Amino acid sequence: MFDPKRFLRLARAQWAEQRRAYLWFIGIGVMVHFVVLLLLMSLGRVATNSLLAKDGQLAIYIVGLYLTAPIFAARYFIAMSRPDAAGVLLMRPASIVEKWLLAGVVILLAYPLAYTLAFQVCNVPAALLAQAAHEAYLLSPEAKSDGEALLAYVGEFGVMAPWRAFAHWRGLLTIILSLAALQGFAVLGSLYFRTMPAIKTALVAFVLLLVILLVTGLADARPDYFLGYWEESTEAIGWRRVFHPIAWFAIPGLLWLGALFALREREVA
Amino acid sequence: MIQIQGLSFGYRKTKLYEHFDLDITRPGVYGLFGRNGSGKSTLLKLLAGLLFPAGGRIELGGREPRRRQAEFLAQVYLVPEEFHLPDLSPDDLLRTHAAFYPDFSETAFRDYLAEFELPPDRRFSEMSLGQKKKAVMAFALATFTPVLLLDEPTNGMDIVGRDQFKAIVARPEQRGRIIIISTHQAHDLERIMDHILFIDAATLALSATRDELARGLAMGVAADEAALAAIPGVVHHEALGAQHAYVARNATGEPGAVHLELLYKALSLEKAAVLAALAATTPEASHV
Repeated sequence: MFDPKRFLRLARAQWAEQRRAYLWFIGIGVMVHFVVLLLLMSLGRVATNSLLAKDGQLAIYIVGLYLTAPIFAARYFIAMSRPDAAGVLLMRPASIVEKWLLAGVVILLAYPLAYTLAFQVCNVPAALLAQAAHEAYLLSPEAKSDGEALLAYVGEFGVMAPWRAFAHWRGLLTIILSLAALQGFAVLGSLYFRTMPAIKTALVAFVLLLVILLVTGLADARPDYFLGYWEESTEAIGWRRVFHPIAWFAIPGLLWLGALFALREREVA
Repeated sequence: MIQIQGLSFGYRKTKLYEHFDLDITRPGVYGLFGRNGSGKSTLLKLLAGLLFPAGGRIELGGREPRRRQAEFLAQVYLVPEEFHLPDLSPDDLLRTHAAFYPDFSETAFRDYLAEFELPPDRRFSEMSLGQKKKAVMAFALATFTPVLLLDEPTNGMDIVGRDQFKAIVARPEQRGRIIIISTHQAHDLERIMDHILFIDAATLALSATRDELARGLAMGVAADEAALAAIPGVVHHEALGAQHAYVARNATGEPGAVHLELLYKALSLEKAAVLAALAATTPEASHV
């Protein structure tokens, strides 16, 4: 079922075939980030723009990760929408588990790491520029007139270290599990739907969101109890103490398991 | 090596196979024929594990294709009619994909590339469709998997390329494996086929070796209608200007020429008569 040698062979073949597509994806992300930073720097005052401070950089980093990671995941099995390419992928001599595991490694591990590195390509120079502007601003009489409230609001300037987001295990768990669920949903959709998988997956996600909103609205439920379960300030009580952590792990787990079955049962007409 | 028992399969309301049986135990080149929509490509995909049977059982080398086990996939190579090649060069393909196939021969691959006149370092995206087809064939033939499934292998190849392909398939090193070729280019590939399979009406209508066909049927061209009338047991004929191409029962017992294109037409249009003629002389050929 699992052979490490074969798995490495599979990874090598995947990299040889897909590296250009992966580099393009990352490259486009870097370009979009560059445009966003350019807009931020040209539209407002750099020295006091809170989005260029460390907390702002972290927010952009997290938003970018949550936007691009599911897209990357949905594209991993993009070959499945073309019968000729799907056949090649399914007939490659490796087990279904190995193919699924490789998808997991690339999507859950390699992409966030690559994203983190790519994020800093534009972020470091922009952050250093903003820091220099901010330091110059602090020495100016303008800063004194703006007052300490503004300084406290814009926060600390400098290059943000992405691992700050993962400094505490609660934050790390929230990001890992929620991202894994989104990516698992995208992968499952790309494998389950044979035609127009991206549109159909997005549509299902939208319908699912509406249903959740409707149910939580009708039941007068508090989704923030669930979504913020791992935060220290959220205290789960009663049945939620058991249900919420199980659900947090079960949702991504089941979605990824569903992807494994979808891959196993996939036919190519 | 290949066993199909009681296979049933269809797409929605279209039934393609019903109680379909096939048993291939000996290596050789098997020509798979049938009319459009008879399910030739589907059969290859069922054998490769890309489609799952609705009923019955398929086994290749003792393994069930639908489970797509790694060991099974290393024993079968399928080149579909519409094939996909990653944007690599043949050299890259060799470096990254050959290791999946335990019997892959680098020497044979380089040899086949040379035969097809393909540069090993040129990317597939820089090749024409015909060159890509040759490259994928060179790789498929060099895998030396016990079973090789080819769907319309010469489509897109020029006349020289077809000859090169036939020359490679006919080489001695290819004789130890089962090669199933689904094609409409009967005339083009008849020289390399050892065995003929004909699918019709959801079943295997005919399974016969070339030798059985040569002994069972007489095929040729009669000079005119009078000459045609003099031939005993004619089951199918068609006009070629003043001449007539015919398929008849082989009354002499001496093996004659086998013209697959003519046989294909005869089977498509006069199946019962052709099979009856064949059954009368070569009962070992299996047919329904």
